[in-house]
Amino acid sequence: MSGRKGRPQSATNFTTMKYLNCPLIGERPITEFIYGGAIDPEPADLEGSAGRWAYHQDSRPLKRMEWWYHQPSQKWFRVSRETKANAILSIEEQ
Amino acid sequence: MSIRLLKYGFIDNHSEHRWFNPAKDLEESYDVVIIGAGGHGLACAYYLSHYHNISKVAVLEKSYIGAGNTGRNTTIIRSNYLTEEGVKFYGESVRLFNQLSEELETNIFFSERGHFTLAHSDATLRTARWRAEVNKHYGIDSSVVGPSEVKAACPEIDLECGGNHPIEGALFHAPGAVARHDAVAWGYAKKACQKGVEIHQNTLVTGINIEKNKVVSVETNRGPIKTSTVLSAVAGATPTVLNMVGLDSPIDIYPLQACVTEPMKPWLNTIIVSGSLHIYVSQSSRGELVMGASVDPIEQHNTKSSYEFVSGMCDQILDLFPFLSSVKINRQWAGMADMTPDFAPIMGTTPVDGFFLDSGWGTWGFKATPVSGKCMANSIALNKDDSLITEFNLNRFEDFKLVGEKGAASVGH
Repeated sequence: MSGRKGRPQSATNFTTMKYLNCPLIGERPITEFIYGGAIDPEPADLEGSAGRWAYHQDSRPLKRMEWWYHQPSQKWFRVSRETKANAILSIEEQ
Repeated sequence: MSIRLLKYGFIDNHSEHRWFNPAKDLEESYDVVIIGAGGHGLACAYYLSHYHNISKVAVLEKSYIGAGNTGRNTTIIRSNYLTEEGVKFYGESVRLFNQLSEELETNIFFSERGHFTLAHSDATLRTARWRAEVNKHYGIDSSVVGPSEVKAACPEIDLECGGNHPIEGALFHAPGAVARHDAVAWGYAKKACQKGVEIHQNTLVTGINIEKNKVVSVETNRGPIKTSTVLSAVAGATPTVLNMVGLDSPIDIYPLQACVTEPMKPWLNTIIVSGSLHIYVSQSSRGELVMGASVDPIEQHNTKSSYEFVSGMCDQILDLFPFLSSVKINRQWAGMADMTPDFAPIMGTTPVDGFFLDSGWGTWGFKATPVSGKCMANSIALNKDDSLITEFNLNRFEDFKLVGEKGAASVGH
């Protein structure tokens, strides 16, 4: 693990999740980001299933796309993360 | 030396006193299969076997008894909730806890301490008053007190909180208590085993088979089991188990952390909670301060604990008790919490026939252990939601019938 050896070097080595590699301004401490939850686009037809869409979700330990917000630069990012190892796999600007 | 001890020394064959059944092969079928040998699952097994005469029950546990959140919570028991459903449900739980040592013939170290929820602002005081009125209406001992009463019950507290957020008052709940969490699980397990319930540790459920919307069998890493009734009493893995039966839920998994200090002389008699400071603290019978904070900010499926948690929590607790700066943190840990949008549990029947759910306990569900076990046993025996838990059904979210319990969560999450 990278934690004992100091700062992780690359975006794929973020098992300790202390830093996140912002595509705009580079590596930033994770505490500058706010977690915005899984990306769950609104379906075209919500008739009769609005409650399901609003609340229900798949929270199994999976690789998934999430919203992350960088507070200092006020930018939203789409992040692919694996929730068991808590590892960031990719990050892109919204 | 007592004669009994002397006699014991001369006997070669010491029959082992067993609390639980020894490891054995799985039977071909069971009436009820309970997934998860934590407090909740074992309590349900106990009430099924002792009150409903259903004892062909297998409790499957992927690890050991009480390995999950049963052994990770901060053991606080209270019933000062905000909604009618919550107050009635937890009121019954506190009543059951009071007589649990006797019922289980196991000392659960139940200790009534009194529970202060501190208010550092007018808004919090308003919520406290609201909670006190709801509680009194349902016969729960709960009242709003001033700073002087807090100081009288806990002289070590700094009412000014270092000048940052002075204490304006508190919600006082006299029946607030603590108990030994492992003992609760062990007690239920012991009594359930006496009636023939089987506890299978190191047994992982890998699938649940359904035919015509009815549970028919359970797949495990030790082979299949035929059963018509399955109860999921897990935390952290609820979405995974639900997926096995083709259901989903609003549950999110967040790690929740806690820690203990080195042991001290008894000085803290009450339970102190501050929603604004995001902390709760009590002193265990071993003298350690048991402390916790709010859930981690990111959804995760692991039990890693972090330095950020300890440093953040200590920052807040030193405002309340400045003298703790010289006390060390001994241990810290994390558990996976099933968070629901309304901070109330998800329990009872599901759209799948024979599949029952006991989940969504949010920041751990220790204080609900007896009542959830009892209600789930009633629901399974009658194949119908117990009247105390009808409002907690899985379908409430689709119908927008939420149980707004966030205001009474111990700390803001």
